[in-house]
Amino acid sequence: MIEFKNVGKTYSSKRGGDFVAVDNFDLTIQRGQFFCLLGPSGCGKSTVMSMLAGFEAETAGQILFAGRPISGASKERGVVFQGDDSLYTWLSAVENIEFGLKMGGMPAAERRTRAMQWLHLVGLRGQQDKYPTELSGGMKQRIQIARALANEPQTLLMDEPFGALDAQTRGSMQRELRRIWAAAETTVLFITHDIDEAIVLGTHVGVMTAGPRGTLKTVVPIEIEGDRDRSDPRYGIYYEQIHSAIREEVERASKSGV
Amino acid sequence: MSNKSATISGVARPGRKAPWWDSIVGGVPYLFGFLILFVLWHIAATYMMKSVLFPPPLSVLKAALQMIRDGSLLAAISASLVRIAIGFFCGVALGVPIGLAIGNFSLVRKLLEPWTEFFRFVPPTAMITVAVIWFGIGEGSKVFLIIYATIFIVILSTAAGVTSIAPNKVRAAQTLGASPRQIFVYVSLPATMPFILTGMRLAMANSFMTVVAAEMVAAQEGLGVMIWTGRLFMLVDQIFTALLALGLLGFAADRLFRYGIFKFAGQYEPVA
Repeated sequence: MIEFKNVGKTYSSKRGGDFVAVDNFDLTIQRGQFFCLLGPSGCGKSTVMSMLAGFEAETAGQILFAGRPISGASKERGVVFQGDDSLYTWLSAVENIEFGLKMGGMPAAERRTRAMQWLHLVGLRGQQDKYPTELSGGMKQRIQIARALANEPQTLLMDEPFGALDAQTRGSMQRELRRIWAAAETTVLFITHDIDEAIVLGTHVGVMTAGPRGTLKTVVPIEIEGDRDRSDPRYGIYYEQIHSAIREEVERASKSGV
Repeated sequence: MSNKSATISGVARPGRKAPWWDSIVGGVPYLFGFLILFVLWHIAATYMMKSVLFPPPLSVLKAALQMIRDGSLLAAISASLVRIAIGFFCGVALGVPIGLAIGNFSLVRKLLEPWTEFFRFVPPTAMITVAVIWFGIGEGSKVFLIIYATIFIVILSTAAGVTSIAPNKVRAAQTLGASPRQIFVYVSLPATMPFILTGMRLAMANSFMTVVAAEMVAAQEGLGVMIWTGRLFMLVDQIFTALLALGLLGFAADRLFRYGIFKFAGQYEPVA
């Protein structure tokens, strides 16, 4: 279980004057949930993820992971980053995927077998010896996902992982992720600014207010079992509900912004 | 024929699956380039600037063969190369850890930056006199100068390499359970490797420059000595032989480094 209790994050600038990125953020994510955090750009959703991952410390409130406060990054919380700069360019695809297992001291043969299974699972059969620079954006993102999943983290944090992909690849990656999540029983926090993606993937969709001082506006549980069908009338209702919530924020952001 | 090989090497990627003869075929344009150099040299020396001061390649080659037979060329080359090897190795062995420390710890950077920024602008050739005064005219002074010529470039590029590692590479390793020591060995070091190699490559060129200058001032043997005594006794062929040897050795050393850089930089990522 993940608990955010009145969490705030303030950056102090060198020129004086503080910037409050996140303020009074309250959220509880139960084990096994697929939580999509949605919000206009600049609302602080990446900051929320970064704090949960342990990359940055909160400046107010408290974040509890399985009842304990977070101190630094840990392999309990796997991360899939937004871009591809987290991949190791000097390692092949399969070597990237087995990186975490190697760090954990798993014997070479065993970790290679496991890494190959994940490689196949994310649809990269036959690409194991390619280097990241030889692969397309979508393939690189799959390596990142496989690398995080191979380590079997309790929780998977994903920061707009499909942002850079074309619509076709994006759709198939979304289906893959749903399938893997259902099979692996992990908790997922998925950051996105795409309403459709949030409804298709999530068991819960959280909408944030516009930044600065971003906070959680509302949480919408998506009560559709199994695969989501965009022609399902419930999809339309959810879309309208979330869309109107986020439109207010986008309008507020554009008024206060420029 | 050379035209055809050029096309082949242009299409084939210099990768793991390339057949063994690919690198040889890829080298053909290089040989061709060298050939042009010698032909132009020959034309210039025999037809345009007929002078004992500018010998054609064949007469230099003859002198070189003569010097290979009596062993003097090899003795000079090995004297210079041993100096470069020792000084270069020591310079890199000292420079890489210092560069890593500067790149990783801002306190070390602040402490050492005045040194690197100061000595970077004092060229090795300016230090020859000091080196001779301190270490005499033996091997010590030459090795010192080559360490000096090597170390600052290696420090700078290593430190630059460390600071250019994408933070997400380190963060990813943390979330995958790597310890700080593992992050250093498996992430920071390989990510910095292309920069270290680039620094070494530049430092190698500097070492060649420095060894010749140092040997001209104070040495019994070496390529610099060959050039200097050649001037004293008007042995122009001997001077050109030394120049030729320097060029070829430098070229070979540089190829070696480029190979290393490409091997470590992820197959096709251009680094240097």
